[in-house]
Amino acid sequence: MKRATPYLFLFLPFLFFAVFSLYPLIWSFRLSFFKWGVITEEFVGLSNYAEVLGDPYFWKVFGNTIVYAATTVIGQIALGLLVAGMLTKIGKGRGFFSTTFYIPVITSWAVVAVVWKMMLGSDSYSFFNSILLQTNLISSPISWLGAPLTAKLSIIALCIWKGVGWAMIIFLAALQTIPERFYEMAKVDGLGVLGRFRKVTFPLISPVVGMVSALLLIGAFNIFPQVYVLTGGGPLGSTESLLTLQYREAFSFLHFGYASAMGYLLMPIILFVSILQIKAISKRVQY
Amino acid sequence: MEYVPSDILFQKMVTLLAAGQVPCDICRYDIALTPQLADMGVVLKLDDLAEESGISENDFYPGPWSSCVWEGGLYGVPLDTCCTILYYRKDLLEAENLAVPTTWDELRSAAMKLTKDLNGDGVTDQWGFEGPGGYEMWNFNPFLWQAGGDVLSSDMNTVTINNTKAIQALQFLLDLIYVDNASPPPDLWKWSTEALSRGEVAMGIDGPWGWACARDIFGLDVDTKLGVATFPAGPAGGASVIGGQNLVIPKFTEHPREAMEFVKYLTSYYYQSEMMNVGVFPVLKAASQAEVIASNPLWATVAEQMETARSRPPHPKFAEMNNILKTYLEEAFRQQKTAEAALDAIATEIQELLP
Amino acid sequence: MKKNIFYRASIYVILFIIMVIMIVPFWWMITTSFKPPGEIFTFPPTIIPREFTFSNYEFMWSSAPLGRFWLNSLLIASIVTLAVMFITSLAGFAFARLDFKGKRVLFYLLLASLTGPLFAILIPSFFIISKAGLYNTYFAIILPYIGWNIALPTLIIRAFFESIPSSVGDSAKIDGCSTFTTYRKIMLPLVMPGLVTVGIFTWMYTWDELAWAITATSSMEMRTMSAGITMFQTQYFSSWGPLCAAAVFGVLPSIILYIVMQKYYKPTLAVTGMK
Repeated sequence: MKRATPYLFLFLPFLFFAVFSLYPLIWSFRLSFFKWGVITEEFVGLSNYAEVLGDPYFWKVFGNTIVYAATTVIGQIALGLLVAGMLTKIGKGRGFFSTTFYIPVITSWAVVAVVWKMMLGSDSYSFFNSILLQTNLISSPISWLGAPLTAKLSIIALCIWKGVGWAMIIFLAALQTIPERFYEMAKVDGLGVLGRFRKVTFPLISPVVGMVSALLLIGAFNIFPQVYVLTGGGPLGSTESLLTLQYREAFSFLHFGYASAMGYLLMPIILFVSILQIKAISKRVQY
Repeated sequence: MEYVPSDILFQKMVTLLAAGQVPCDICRYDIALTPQLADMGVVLKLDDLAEESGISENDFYPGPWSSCVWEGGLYGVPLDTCCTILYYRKDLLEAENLAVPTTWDELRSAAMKLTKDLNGDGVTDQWGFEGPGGYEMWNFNPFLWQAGGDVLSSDMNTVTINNTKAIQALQFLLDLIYVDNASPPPDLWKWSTEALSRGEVAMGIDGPWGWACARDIFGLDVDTKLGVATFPAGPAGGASVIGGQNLVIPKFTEHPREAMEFVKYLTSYYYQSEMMNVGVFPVLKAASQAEVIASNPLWATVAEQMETARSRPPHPKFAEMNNILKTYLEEAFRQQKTAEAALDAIATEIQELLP
Repeated sequence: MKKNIFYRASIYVILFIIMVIMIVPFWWMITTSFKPPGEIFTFPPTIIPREFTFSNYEFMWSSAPLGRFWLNSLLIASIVTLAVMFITSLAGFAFARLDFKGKRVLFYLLLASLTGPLFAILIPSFFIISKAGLYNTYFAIILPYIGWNIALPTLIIRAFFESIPSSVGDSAKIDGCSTFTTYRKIMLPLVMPGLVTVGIFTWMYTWDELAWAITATSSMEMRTMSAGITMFQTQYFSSWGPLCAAAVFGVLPSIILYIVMQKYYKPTLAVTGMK
């Protein structure tokens, strides 16, 4: 009976997971070896995979995604930790601030993307330009989404803006589980702020940080609504993400096999890097 | 009656059909994408049903009808249509004593006169002509056709997008930006109706909805300030691009006859002329002669333009071709490729899509 | 003494600035929902509406059965969130504190499901729903939503469970608790912040998700709020005023819930965890 306990715990979760996550994974994996026509299919072996690897646009988008991953993950972790740390230092207003920081996170992407698109217009009427123009920081409106570099920066900024509250909340919760007396012991030992962070805080929250950064990395590879709504992948494919590319191949051109192959080429890479991240950052808390 | 946002529509159709479930008995579907459905075999071939219901090709505008035909079979029935036309600021043209341009040369000279730096800060505040406003066939094809070129040959087996006429069309647009300085560069492109309403542009291109949008969204006094006209004619005459919707009947439906009945109703003279009242242009030639159209300057212009308006290639791989065109045209407009190089690249890639 | 005040004051200032940055687009959305069409795009943009109007809300309410959409979203969100919180806490606990065969494999499978091609979920899931005859029912939406929200929450909760020192579990065993009691009485309260976090994310997911909500339903009565918002966007442009009004309306439950849940973030057995 005792040995069966874990399986009892896992039964329900696994059932849902298997039906709605595993089965689709297997289905699309199989499909990556076919050319699919909704009601027809044709076996093509590895040619979908070969096509993906040989497509220069795929590599360009892959490069975009690496940039997204690096900037958004580091940005959100650093800012999230910083802000969570600041919040633990204040008593009054902690709830107020954390609520407001969280608002971007809980506003739906559909809405956020559209509002930001409005605010990032290229003329003087859109919000960012008019503020910058009025404070005389720039002399003519910037075409945020119309030029490759600024478009990419805009997307990155949007990702960080929307996501940092998420990381922050998780870090805040984790920081709050650290018993106060550990800090007191550290202070007694003569450790300063940075020392306390390295020796007390970080080790204790490292599993959470590791998991969060792995999840943020996965999130960076799955960037979709921001790009889809704001730029559609342009200008010149500078903001295109892997998922928007797959989506277009699958649902506009009906290259389901091709898109699945792309997904499965990427999966091992993302998995590998995330696992590395978790292992590197997490330390088992034993004492 | 089910409402689906347009970008999810195809996704839903594909998903349901793949599972063998009927999405609906009739579907209202973009004309450019209808041949793709036909080629996939997921919509019914309608020749017999259409004949039974008395729906005949002659009653409809040729452009929309051609988007329903694939490999000799009829797979849809047109429902509504539209085309793009020229919009201009009456007040800005009058201030320069300019008549509405009717040829490419007039367009160019008018645009050059209308491009101004109003406050002397070295930055152009008013452009003469907005330009194509985008890189897709929807934007470029009118000019392409006005020069006498086309994306594909009429039997759709050869790519013709890189012949001299196409180069001429593209070069015309590029020169307006980079040689004549009468048109804004891509960084500054925006929805032409918005630019027109703010006076940032004196002439631009949009579909019939531009009128209502200028009035309701941007608060422009359209009656005194906004004018409409047909496209200025290129070397080969006038042309415009057709958009609109077709009615298709998905494959697994259990009521094909009743569906067709409804289609017949939707394409009847009565219904088509009523569509005008909600701002949708009919596909039935007879309905477009109605009084309500002739008396309204916007719709009269659209009706006139419809006579030279054509549909984009009705090919199942339209979505991919459009995407290829878009990619390389963007490079051309951003001066990363010459017109010839861009069009050659488009031609090569589209050629790979043809059997 | 002075240094302390200065230190805390500067923290407040920084936090305030960050708050403004976070809020600005949201503020923009709210004010736009109260502006008449002519005022939405002006230069310079008005931060407080010059002309305050409810017309967008009236328009929004009368053009679509938003009340029904809202209730649907509320129902679906509640069921899915509670289910996910319960189910994934079981899984998270098992991963963090129990040993079993295939633990590693299962863990990697969870991660893999997050890294696989997401667009490909729709069609197979639809096969299942359709074969089960559930098309256009609440279950068509609820069941897959739960299924798709197993992997991520489990990983998050697992991390929270792992942060609890193993000495807590040991002392529980010494006290003679069965695994399930340990789970229920001791571990669960300790990861409450994590659980609430997961709950809020799941809640938010159900309100935001669009593609499946439309694919799995065919009648207006079954549509959710996310679908409702799209009704103000056409292929060519959006009606900004009513769109923002609908967005505000749709976001309210999530915000209210979040404010209400604030109190669960206060550490419960915080100080030592050693009882």
